[in-house]
Amino acid sequence: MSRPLDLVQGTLDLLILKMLALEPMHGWAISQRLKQMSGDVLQVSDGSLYPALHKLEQQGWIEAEWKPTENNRRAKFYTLTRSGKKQLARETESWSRLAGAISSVVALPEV
Amino acid sequence: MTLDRLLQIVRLRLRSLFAGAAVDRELDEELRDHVERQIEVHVARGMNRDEARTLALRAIGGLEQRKEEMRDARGVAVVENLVRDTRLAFRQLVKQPGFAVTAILSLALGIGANTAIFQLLNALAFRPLPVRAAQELVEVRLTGAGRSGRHTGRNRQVSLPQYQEFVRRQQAFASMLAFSDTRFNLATSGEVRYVDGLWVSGNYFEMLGVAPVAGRLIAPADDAPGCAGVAVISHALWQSEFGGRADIVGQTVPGVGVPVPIIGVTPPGFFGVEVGKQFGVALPLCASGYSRRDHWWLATVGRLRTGWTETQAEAHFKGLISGVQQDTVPDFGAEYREPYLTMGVELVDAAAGVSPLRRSYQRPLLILMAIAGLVLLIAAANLANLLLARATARQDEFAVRLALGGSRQRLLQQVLTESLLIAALGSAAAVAVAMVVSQSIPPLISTAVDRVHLDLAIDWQVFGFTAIVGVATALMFGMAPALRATRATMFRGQSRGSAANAGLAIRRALVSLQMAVTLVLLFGGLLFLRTFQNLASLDTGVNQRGIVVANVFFPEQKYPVEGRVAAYRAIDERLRTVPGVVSLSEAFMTPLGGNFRDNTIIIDGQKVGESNINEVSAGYFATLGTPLTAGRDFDDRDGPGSPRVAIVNEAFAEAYLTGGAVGQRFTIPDDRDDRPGTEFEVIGVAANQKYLDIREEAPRILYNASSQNPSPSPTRRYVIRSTLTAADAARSIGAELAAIDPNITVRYSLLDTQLTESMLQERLMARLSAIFGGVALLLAIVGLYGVVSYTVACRRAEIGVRAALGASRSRILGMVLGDVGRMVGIGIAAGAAFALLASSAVGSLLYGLEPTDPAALAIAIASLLGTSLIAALLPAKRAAGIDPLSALREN
Repeated sequence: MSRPLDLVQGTLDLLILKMLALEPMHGWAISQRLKQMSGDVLQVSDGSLYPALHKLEQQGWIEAEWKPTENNRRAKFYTLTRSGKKQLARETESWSRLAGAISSVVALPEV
Repeated sequence: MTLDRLLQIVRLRLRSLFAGAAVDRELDEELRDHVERQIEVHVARGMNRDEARTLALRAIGGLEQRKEEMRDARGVAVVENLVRDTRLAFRQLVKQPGFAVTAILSLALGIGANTAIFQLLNALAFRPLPVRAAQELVEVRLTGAGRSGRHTGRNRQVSLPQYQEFVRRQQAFASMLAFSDTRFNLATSGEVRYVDGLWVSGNYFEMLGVAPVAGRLIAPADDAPGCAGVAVISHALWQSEFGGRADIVGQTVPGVGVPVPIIGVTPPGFFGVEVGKQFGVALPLCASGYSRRDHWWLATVGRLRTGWTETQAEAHFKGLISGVQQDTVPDFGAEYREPYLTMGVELVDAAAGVSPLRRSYQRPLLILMAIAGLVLLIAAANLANLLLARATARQDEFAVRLALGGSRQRLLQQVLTESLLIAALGSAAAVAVAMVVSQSIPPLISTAVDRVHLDLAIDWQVFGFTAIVGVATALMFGMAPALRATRATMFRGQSRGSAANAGLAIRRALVSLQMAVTLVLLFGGLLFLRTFQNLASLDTGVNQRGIVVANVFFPEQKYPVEGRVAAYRAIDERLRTVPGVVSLSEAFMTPLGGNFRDNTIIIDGQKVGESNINEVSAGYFATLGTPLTAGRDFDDRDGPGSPRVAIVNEAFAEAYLTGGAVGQRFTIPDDRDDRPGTEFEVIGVAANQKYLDIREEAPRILYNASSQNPSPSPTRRYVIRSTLTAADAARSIGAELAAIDPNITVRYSLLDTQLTESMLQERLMARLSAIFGGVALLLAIVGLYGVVSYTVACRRAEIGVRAALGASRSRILGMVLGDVGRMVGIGIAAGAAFALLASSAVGSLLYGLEPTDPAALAIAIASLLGTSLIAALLPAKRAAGIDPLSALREN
């Protein structure tokens, strides 16, 4: 896996945690919501979503439960855990710092 | 990491590991759900179903890759491989039970020997005492020769006044305890029943942080001068002697003469400060009545004050010692004062307790550890040999796998897993071997009255040791075969013969190594065996066979000192009439019995030297079969009032009394300068006997007449020669004593046993090193046999050609045996050189032979050469019997 992807992966983790902080969701719903919210700006491939979910579960930030869905199918619903909440706070914080730093650099007046 | 999160992670990993199939199904379901929903969305937008499916699958980028990625996310591939490899390795072992059993047994013996010796070392020298903060404990020991007088106990270091002075002056210890070991007789009549006892200072239990399981323990207030005494008993004694009764406090135990009330019980597992010993009854120091300045009986241990190091404390004590000595000097004459005043002091770490046993056995055990390590080396070489043979056999398989793109690392992992599995099974079996071996050793180093108790439980140290040795061994014997097997290329794999020959070179080198190490072990074993033989066949000056020693204890109140001479005379007469008794005599000590007494000899006002002293009655020399070479034995002429007479041994006479000893006189000085010594006239000369140590060369001994002692002790030691068996003699003597007075108690031993017990260390070394040498020889021979058989199998075609060209059977036999001879010869030469260089390390444990003893080396070489040739003969005969036609047809 190449480096730029890692960065995207990291951001993807943050997005997923944020999404699940709003409400518990299954994989499909997350992918739809991501598409909806980021629109053309963020291209999140369906292919990278599920491994990311899996990794987050393995790390204990989110937990999963099989539940019937609105159309009577079975789906794996993901919920943010308590330590996941803390992780989200940490990642949000470091993201803001990073974004802030980049914006301030970019906003420097050019001579 | 929070606990919740940790639990979740562990749960998921375990699930991935043990329910992998279910996890995979769920992955599948989740992904399929996603794809189907996507298809529906596409279809709803008007796409046809096939197109929709293609698009959806493309978006997800290949179901199988995703699933693989998710599996990787679970991070269990390494473990899964390990589980798979272990299963595979296990199946292969089961498929080849002969190999498996040989491998596991070799390891069990090799590792087991190491674990057993480690267990002993651990229990004796490494494991901290089971008391509070054992690492803070330090023993105070005196150095220099200045202690004349009475010596009792195994850990005798200081007198009571010295201990008290140290306590009063020292600053380095938060507290400082003193103790001494003793024995209490639990029996009130008949045969003596000893229980190990302790004299302890009042702060002993408090300082060690021991809490009672019943009642209370001895406290400082209990240890006041002139006390009547209170007793604390051990948990074991509470159970064995009192049946664990609840009202134990207030019961009594026999102390010294008077019963002592029990005030409490120590917890199970507490054995005191001396490793290797246990106690049943502990009494405060004051109850002993010992307070003399020239009585050396106490060991002292301090607990370092916070902030003090052992080095600082030692410097502190070195500053105190001369003041302490000044204020505690016994009533010595000038010649003893000087050495006493200049004695030094040293502090010794006591975290693992104090132990005279450790001092005498640590070195032997370390040597045995080295021997066991060499046995393991031989076992590992055997396994390397076996695995190399297998590696060669599996080269084809590996070559194919490598050619098909299997990674070498993966193959290495698989082969090493197999080694580790063998090592793990071997280690498990080794623990069982070790338990048996180590449990059998304390009885070997115990004497009848001095039992050794070592806690040999498998603790984490022992377990860790076994595990580390196991893994190290696995790497040692597994690495070379693993590298060899996986280096195979397709090309090598096809030209199998050359690869097999390359492996053979290593295997032949391993056999030479085994032979070298085995020779070293056989040589060492023979050195210890011959040492023991030399000691056992030494002339002790005594015909000890069938001599029963009876220690008889008379109740002091009933036999007051003024009436003892008469009472003893009457009792001796009655005992002499017991049917079967040939002769009977009394002696202060028996040769090598462990007691001793010595003094300065003065002739014509000149100090001429020292001599050991024994005090015996008439008939002693006849009973023990030691001839008198001049003069007469003690008899009725020698009473308390008559002139003092002595018999001396030949060594004494040669040293001090030239020109006819009988009739000459010498003087023994009194303990005090202001009193004159006692003058003796020599009336006889006896042949030499050993005295305290069997290794002594002809010690000088003088014998006083016990009939001249006006105040004999309430304990008498009889030596009895009879026509009865030892048990019958003891029974008859016991019955007669009981008839005289039922309150007399007695303990029997055999002079034979006493003599053997003075050689326990040598016997242990002889037995264990001989056993280890035997195991090494067995392992090495198995290894040699395997390699020779294999060589013959590899050279089958060549031998067939030779036979076809007319080589005779004997020529082929000679060729194979010559080859073995070269292999073994190299090993023997290397081993002999090493053995001769290294044997000086054991020099101090040998007796009566040099560490380079040529006879031992010759026997070791001959036996190794002999067994090697016998082991090689079978495969060599097989080679000679090869039918050239069939051998050639096979190729």
